[in-house]
Amino acid sequence: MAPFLSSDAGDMIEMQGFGPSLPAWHLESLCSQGSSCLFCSTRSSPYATPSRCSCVPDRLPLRLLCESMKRQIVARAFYGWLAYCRHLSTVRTHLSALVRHHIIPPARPPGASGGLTKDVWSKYQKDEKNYKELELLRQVYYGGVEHEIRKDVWPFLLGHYKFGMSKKEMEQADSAVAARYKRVLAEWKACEAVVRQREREAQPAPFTKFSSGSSIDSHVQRLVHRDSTISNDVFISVDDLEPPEPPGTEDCRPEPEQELGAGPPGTAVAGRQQSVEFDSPDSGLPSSRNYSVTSGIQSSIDEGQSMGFEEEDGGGEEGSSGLVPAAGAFSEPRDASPHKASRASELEAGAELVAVCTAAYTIELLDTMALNLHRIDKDVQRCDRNYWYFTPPNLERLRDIMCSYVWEHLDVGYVQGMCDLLAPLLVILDNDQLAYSCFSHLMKRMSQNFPNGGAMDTHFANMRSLIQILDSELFELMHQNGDYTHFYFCYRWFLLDFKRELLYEDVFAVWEVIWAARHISSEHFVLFIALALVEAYREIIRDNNMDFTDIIKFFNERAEHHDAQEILQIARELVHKVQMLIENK
Amino acid sequence: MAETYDFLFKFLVIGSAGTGKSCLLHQFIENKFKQDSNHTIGVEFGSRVVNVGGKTVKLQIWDTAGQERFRSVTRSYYRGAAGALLVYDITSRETYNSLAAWLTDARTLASPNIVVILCGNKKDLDPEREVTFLEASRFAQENELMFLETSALTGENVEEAFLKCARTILNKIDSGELDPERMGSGIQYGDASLRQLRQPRSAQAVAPQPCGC
Repeated sequence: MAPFLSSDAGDMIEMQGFGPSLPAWHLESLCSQGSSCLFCSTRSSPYATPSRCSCVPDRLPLRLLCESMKRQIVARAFYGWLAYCRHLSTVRTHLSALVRHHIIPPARPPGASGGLTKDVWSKYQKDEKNYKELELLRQVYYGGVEHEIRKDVWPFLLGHYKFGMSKKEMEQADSAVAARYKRVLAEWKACEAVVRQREREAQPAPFTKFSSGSSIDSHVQRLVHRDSTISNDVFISVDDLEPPEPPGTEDCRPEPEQELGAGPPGTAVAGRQQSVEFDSPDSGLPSSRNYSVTSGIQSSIDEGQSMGFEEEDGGGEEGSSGLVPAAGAFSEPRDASPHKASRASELEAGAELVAVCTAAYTIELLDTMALNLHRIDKDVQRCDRNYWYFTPPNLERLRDIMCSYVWEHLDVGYVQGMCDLLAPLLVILDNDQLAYSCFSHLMKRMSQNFPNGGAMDTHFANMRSLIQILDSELFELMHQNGDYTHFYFCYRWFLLDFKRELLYEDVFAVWEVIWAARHISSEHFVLFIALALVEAYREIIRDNNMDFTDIIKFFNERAEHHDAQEILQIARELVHKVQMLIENK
Repeated sequence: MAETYDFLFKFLVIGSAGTGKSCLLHQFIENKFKQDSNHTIGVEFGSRVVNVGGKTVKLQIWDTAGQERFRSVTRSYYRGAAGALLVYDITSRETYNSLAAWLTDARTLASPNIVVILCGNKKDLDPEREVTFLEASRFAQENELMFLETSALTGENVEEAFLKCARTILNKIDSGELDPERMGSGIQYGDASLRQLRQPRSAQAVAPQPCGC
């Protein structure tokens, strides 16, 4: 069809142009178009025809008319086809970035669909230098990992170890991570201790919780306790600087004080955490004696902050920069209080305070950490509590790892969903340091899916193109129903790598394939799993003429009822389909 | 499978994280407390047909994620909601303090006429209360909200909250204050024929044009 069309194309374009120098037969056909008489004989009443139509049918050579109609039809078909081809090529260029162009088949060499077995893995471990990374990954991609060896294989898939590492190198990697984890743990636990201390002072008795907002005390309390943004409004009372109570008398759960010594010099100073104290409503002091030194502290701190807790990978710079090194930033009290002149005695006390405060954290940091701890606690408590692994001690481990990661990424902070991503890793690895390291690697990709990461919209756009190319019927249906070209029904799928859509055992199977796919077929394999989910239910979606709402509801109800192996198979086939499409262009 | 109802209302459940939104919904739909509830990602969903003032109304309830970070996502579900449960936790002042922001979102993104009921959840945890009934009812009054204290655990006032909201919407339809026909009202007529009416319109659009020129 194509060659015929292109040879005729010149004529078609001429017809569409309707230039002034038209040949006679064109004029005639133009006349017929102008009066729209092609249908007048069939459409309008026979009596009306002669009066309204300038070209009487029997005066026109019928053959010419047919010819003109034929050309027009062909022209339309051609332009439709051309537009479609252009569109297709655009989409193809777009899609070609989604898959690897080199196809790695399951059957060459055979046996990949059996997955990565214990046998193969032990052979690899004996002779790691001579084993091809790609071959192992191919087996994972087509058949998954035998459950028994997941614990050993996952750190490789996630990048904690590299394939081909010797035993010694692996040990080195482990000890580096262990040291780092220990340090981070100590850092945030020290900070947590200060946060808790501050909270205790903000809420000395249950009845003070009722704040009507009218008294200054409760106002202050609210600011101290709730407000995480306006650090300059937090008041500090000098008079509260009593020696700290011995930990034994405290009513709260014991703080991990013993951890403090483990940190680097910068954090060891947090042993003096009690020095930062805040005005509490029941301090019994007139509020006029409170004065704001925070802004002064803040600016001094900002200057004295050149030394941060930079990570070797530079990942945590933002988050840890809030920590104040034990430098003598406050050796000279700054003129921070606007009431300085009238309050000489307090200024003296202020100098004292400032001296003690050298060892502390910025208010901002404390607020941020308090907020994040609060959120993490809320979510960890309810994370997968129906799964056998998550007993209270294991939930505590989950929390420690989560807090450590968040401490290193305080600029982003904890976002709901992170727990979901960490939980399966901890279940399989059952080792805190390893889970921490693997989670950090996993989050390099996943963090972009979280709000403001920008990847989610790209996923939606890619889904749209993929459905358009691979299932045009469904695409038309979606297009008609308008709304759900936004693909919000996939939101949770992408955010959590399908973790909530599948049973735990299936999550393991799907995740490892996603990680291996990156090197075998597609860096965006999640798209194809999503597409596979849509395809698996396409008849139901189509026959029920589902709209956006129906689809969200449908997939919510189907959660944990999918056949993961079938979905993976469809997904692999879809990748292959796109690869073939691109190859054959 | 085929349900008959007079109206369909789109409802939202909004409020800060951990206030018990999903548990309220679950209690309303299943009549029991959801022990192992996990935090909501994106949106979850429930629907139930209720009888209000002699009319059968299908409530289509959208349960949203609480963390502010997801607000931009949650907002995409707001459109065309007729009613909302605005939930805070009586044992957490923080959740109470953010009510105004949630309310603004609901009124600007869903509809200015959205019928909102304020729910002070976790009523069963009275000893840990941080927000008094009086304070919250004052807030409700100032912002023209209905108000109930609820407990998703015991089920107290849960059904009442949804029904009260539905009843108010029905009253507003009766009085002409709300027009179900208006786009984005969050209200649909229930009879199946109306839904099918929408189809021929798109069928017409793709029908061949009578004239080839």
